[in-house]
Order: sequence, then structure tokens, then C-alpha cells
Amino acid sequence: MNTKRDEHGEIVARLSDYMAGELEPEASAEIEVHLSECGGCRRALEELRAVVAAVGTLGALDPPRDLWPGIAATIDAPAPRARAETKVIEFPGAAAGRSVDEELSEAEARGVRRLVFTVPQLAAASVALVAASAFATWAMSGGVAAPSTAGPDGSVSGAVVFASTAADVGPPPAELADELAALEQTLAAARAELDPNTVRVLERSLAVIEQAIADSRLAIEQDPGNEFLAAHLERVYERKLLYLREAVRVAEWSD
Amino acid sequence: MLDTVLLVTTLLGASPESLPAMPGQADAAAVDTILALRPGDRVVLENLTGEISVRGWDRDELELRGEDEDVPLIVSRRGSIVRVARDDRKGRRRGVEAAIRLPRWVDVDVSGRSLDIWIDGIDGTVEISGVSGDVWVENAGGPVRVRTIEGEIDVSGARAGVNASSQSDEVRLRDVEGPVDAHSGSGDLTLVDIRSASVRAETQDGDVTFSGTVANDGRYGFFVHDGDAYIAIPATSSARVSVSTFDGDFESEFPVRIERYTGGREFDFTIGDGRASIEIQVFDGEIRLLERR
Amino acid sequence: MGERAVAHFETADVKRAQDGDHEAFERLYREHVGRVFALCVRMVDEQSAEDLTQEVFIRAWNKLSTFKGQSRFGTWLHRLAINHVLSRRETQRKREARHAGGDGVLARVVAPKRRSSGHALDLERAIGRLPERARDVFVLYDVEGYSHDEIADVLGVSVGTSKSQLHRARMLMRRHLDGGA
Repeated sequence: MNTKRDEHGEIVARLSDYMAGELEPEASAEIEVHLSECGGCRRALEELRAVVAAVGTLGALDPPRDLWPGIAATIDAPAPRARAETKVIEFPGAAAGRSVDEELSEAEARGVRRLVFTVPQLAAASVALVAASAFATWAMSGGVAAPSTAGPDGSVSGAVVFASTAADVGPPPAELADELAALEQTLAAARAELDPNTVRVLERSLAVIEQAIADSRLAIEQDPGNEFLAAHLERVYERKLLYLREAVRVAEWSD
Repeated sequence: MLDTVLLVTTLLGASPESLPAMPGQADAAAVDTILALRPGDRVVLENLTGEISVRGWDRDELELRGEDEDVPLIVSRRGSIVRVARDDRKGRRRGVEAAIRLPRWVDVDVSGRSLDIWIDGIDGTVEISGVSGDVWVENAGGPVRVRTIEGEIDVSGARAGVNASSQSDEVRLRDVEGPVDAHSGSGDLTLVDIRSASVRAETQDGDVTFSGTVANDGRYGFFVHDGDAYIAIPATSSARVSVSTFDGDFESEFPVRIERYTGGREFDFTIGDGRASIEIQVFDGEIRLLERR
Repeated sequence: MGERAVAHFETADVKRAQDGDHEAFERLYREHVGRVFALCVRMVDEQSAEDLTQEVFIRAWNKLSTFKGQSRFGTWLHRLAINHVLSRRETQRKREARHAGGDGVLARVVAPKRRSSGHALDLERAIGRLPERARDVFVLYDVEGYSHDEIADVLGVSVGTSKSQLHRARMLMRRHLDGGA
């Protein structure tokens, strides 16, 4: 196996955080132990420090010509003409109790060409991703206890943990659920064979998908009858399915 | 069973007249392998790590050159499949730097865990899948399909469509004809100078920029979760446009006359005679429909 | 002149400029143009940096009334410059989208020409070769000294993304510098 190389990758990936003193004491100590034994990683740290030090010396740059005359000419000039008339319509036309239809026909009557729809009342749904990503959960469930062979125990444990995570964000569409679950089981079984860098890469990708799922679910709670949101959520789940298929394919590559 | 295992190893210096140096290539590079290819052959670059360039040329031969004299690659043929794989006898984990020349007509299939790959001037089918590493494809005459988890994809000049997905980096397509299906999980998607009747572009966390023509019977779909969509089409386009958003503004340089408006934030309108179909769906971000000039 | 004295004169110039005094604003321009121009060069490229720098100062002039002196003028101006660079990118994308085949978005891999020398030139080139997101974070953190929290705020990304992009940028810089930019 490639344990040694993988360990180097893990260490190097955390060197910037280490340099900034942002790691927990144990993690810092772990890195220091590794650095004391490993010339390659020590060199990587030195090189990163050299980059930071070198860049710290970069100063201001003078423009190749004096830019002031252009600035002076502009701030002396009268204010520019307003842009072509733009009609701003609030979704869903709630402003002053008018309907979108009324707003639109007025805009049309005035020959307005630029049209802006805006959503004033909805704060951006920023969702903290409470549930860890399925993959992260899967990885954690593997942990030290993960069997190194693809035994049924490993598969079941991965799937069970995932199911509880999935429940937090709601179930996937029925027609996708089986394949999603099967792929997650396959991944859980294959986890021990994957190198940690690959795991991290897959994990990050899946976290983006899980965030999109969580956002969409929150939106549906706010606006349950919205067909677009339902279609959107389904599309994100389909994408998740593709991600998992890719992950399984990658896991199958012998190395 | 393998039909043949090829280990034709020569050095350029040994027979300079038979192998003129390629422009931009150092004369010192070792020519490791030469193999005649036949129509119908498929070249498979299997599970490689490092930096590889593949370029089409007018000979019906595969040529492999390594940066080092001792390229850790092995070329073998089984029926019509010609495989270029790591030669484990020369070290399992070594990254490879190599330049490969292939007949333009051949199909190429590349996979690698951590591989930067550049493919130029291949007219057969090109399929690439990797975990990390960047992918550049130029001047492709055949269909191009790229899957990567972490790495940029850049395709410039494709005559028979592109299907490209990067889970966590940018995807850029430029000068493409034929069907386009492009996806980026977290990274921007830039589609410029696209001449296609079928386009699908999707990002979860990144902007979509599209600039291209609109075919009368074409279908164009742009799907963004968290990011903006900039869609630029010719002023003379004829399309029915359907727009959906959950939280974001819509702005159009085309006259907009709403024909269908649902209670939520979805509406349809028509440009010209409304022949093509354009669907723009953005969950959280701006939509800009622009005139391509 | 000591730092406090500079700050004192600067505050006086800001007040005069707020009252419409062009000469006072020109002094502010001369004092700060190098840092603003450098930021634009590093975040975009040298060709656009001249225009961007002019626009930043024109915007600053128009928005001077909103500067209340709670921070240093340079800090306020710098933040304004960063926001302007970011919003200009959006405009740039639109323009490139409109003019089909426009090379801007796709030509960033070409290292911009820089007027610097020796080691500094290598560094500037290497910065120019970084992917956009990594470059933004790298310039703001390692060159300009912003914190990850501030960067996350101004770029609209998470703190985690800011950290990981910084590391990515440093690793790439290390490679660029090692292999010659």
C-alpha cells in the first residue's frame, strides 16, 4: 500500500494551517513529529515559508504613465446621463399591492426595454450544513473499525449511518433511492482501499451537493407548491447519483 | 493473452534520419516506442500519473517519447486495443512525463488518478477520466468526453460535441460545434463561441457564461444552483425562453413580454418567432440575458 | 515625516477633497496610486490595471461623502478597489460573452507582461499564472494582509474555501517559482 506517501500528502495539505497556528495542539504535534523525521515534508514547509516571505516583500507598483490627467478630466465633467429606462418589477409583484400583470402592461405601454425582476422579500437562504455530507459520514462510519474487506458488516454499517444523515435533509426521490443507497454501500466497503487524498477530494465534491440539497429543501419548506424547486431538487439528487457513480468508478481503479 | 508486447526501444540519437525532431521538442528526448496502428484501433492510456501530451500527426504510427531516457511506460496490443500503461518494473509510484503522437483518426481513452493531460488534433473519439489534474483538449474532430473530480477542463476547438464534467473546478469550452453537455460542481462554466442545437450547462456552485448561436430547432438548458447565469445570444434569435429562479434577479436586453407567469418566480416569453427552446433556471443568483454582438 | 503626521495631513486632505478640492484629492491619489495599481495588476493584469486604477479613484471621488473617517483613508480606498475589481470582472464576463470568441476569460493562462526585475518579476509572473480564485485569496492574504474572515466576506466564499485556496495558491507558487515562472 501507499501509506507513507499518503501520509506525506496529508501533512503537506495542512502545512498552511500549521504555519498560521490554526491547528489543534494535537494536530500540530503530529505534524511536528512527522517533520522531525521527514526531510521531504520539511523541505515543503521551508518552500512554503519562502513563498510567503518572498511575497511579503512585494510592494507598490507605479503605473507606467501618470493616470491623474484622466481622473481629473472625469471628475471635472458633469454627471453622466442616466441609463436607458429600466422597469424593476418585484417578484411576485407585491409592491403597492399591484399584480405583475399590471406592472408588465404599464412597462409595455411605456416602451420599456430593460426589465428587471427582483426578489426583495426573501433573504438568501443561507443554510449551515448541519448534517455532515453523506460521504463524510460514510468516511467517519468507516473509521478505524471499518473492515478492510468488503464484508457485509461494513456495507450495512455505512448504509445505516447514511440513512440517518439522509433523514435530516429528507429522503431522495423514490426512483433514485435504491441506487443511491447501493452506491453508498459500495463506497463504504471500498473506503479502506482508497487513498486519503482521493477520499478528501470526493468528500469536498459531495459536500457541495449536500449543501445544494439542504438549500433546496429549506426553500421547499418556504414555498411548498413551487414546481421549479421540486424539479431543482430532483436534478441535484441526479447529480449526486452521478457523483457517487464516479466515486465508485474511481474506487474500482486498481493501484 | 496478449497478442504482442512491444518494447521497441531506440534512442533518437541512434537513428536521427528516421525520426525528425518535432517542433518544440528537445532533441535529447528519448523515443521509447514506435508502433504501427490500424484503422479501428483504440489507444488506451491506463491509470497514469504525471503529465502527458497526445498529439495527432499524419503517420499511422504511435510514437512515445519520455522526458527521461527510461520512460516507465509499457505499450501492448490486444486485438484492436493498444494499451499504454505504467511499467511497474520501473517503480510503482513514479509520475510520468511523456509525449505521445498518434494518427489523427484513432480513438483515445485516457484514465489517471493525478494526471495533467493535453490532447491536440485527434479526430477520433476522445474519452478522459481522472481524479485530479487538468485536462486540455484542442482541435478535436470527434466527440470529446471528459470526467474529472478535481481539475480544470479546457476544450478549445471541437467539431463533434463535448460532454465535460468537473466536480470541483472550472470548465471552459470554446469554439465548439455539436451537442454540448457541460457541468461544474464548484467552479465557473464558460462556454464561448458555441454553435450547437443542443446545449445543457449545469453548475452547483459557480457562474455559467454562454455565448453562442441559437438554432431554430435547438434546445438550450442552463441550470445553476448558487451562481449567476450570463447568456448571450444573437439579436436575431428565435426562441421561447423560460426563466425560473428562487432567489435572484432577472435582467434582459431583449424586449420581454411575459406570456406565462406562475405564482412563484417562473415565466415564459418569446424572442422573434419563438422556435428554439431556452430554459434558464437559477436557484440563487442573477440571470442576465444579453445580446451577443 | 512620521506616520502620525502623514495621517494628520491625509485627514485634512480628505476633508478638503470632500469639499470639492481637486488638488487635495490629487495629493491623495499620488500617495495611494502605487498600492491600488499593484492590487489591480495582481488581481487582474497589467493591461486592465491602468483603467481599473483610474476607475477606482473616480469612484472614490464620487463616494468621498460616505467616508466617515472611522478607518484610515487608505484602508477605505483599498476595500473600494477590491470591490471594484470584483464587480468589473462581472462586467468583463458579460462583455466577453457578448463578443463571441473574445479571448479574455480564456486567455488568463498567458502570463501578463510585468515591468519588474529579477526575483520580483518571477513572483509577479507566478502570481499572474494562478487560477483566479486562488489568486484572489493569495493576493489578499499573503500580499495585502487581509484575514480569512475578511476575505470570505469580500469574496463571498466560506472561510474554509479561503483557507484551502490559499494553500492551493502557495503550493502552485512554490512549483512556479521552483520550475521558473
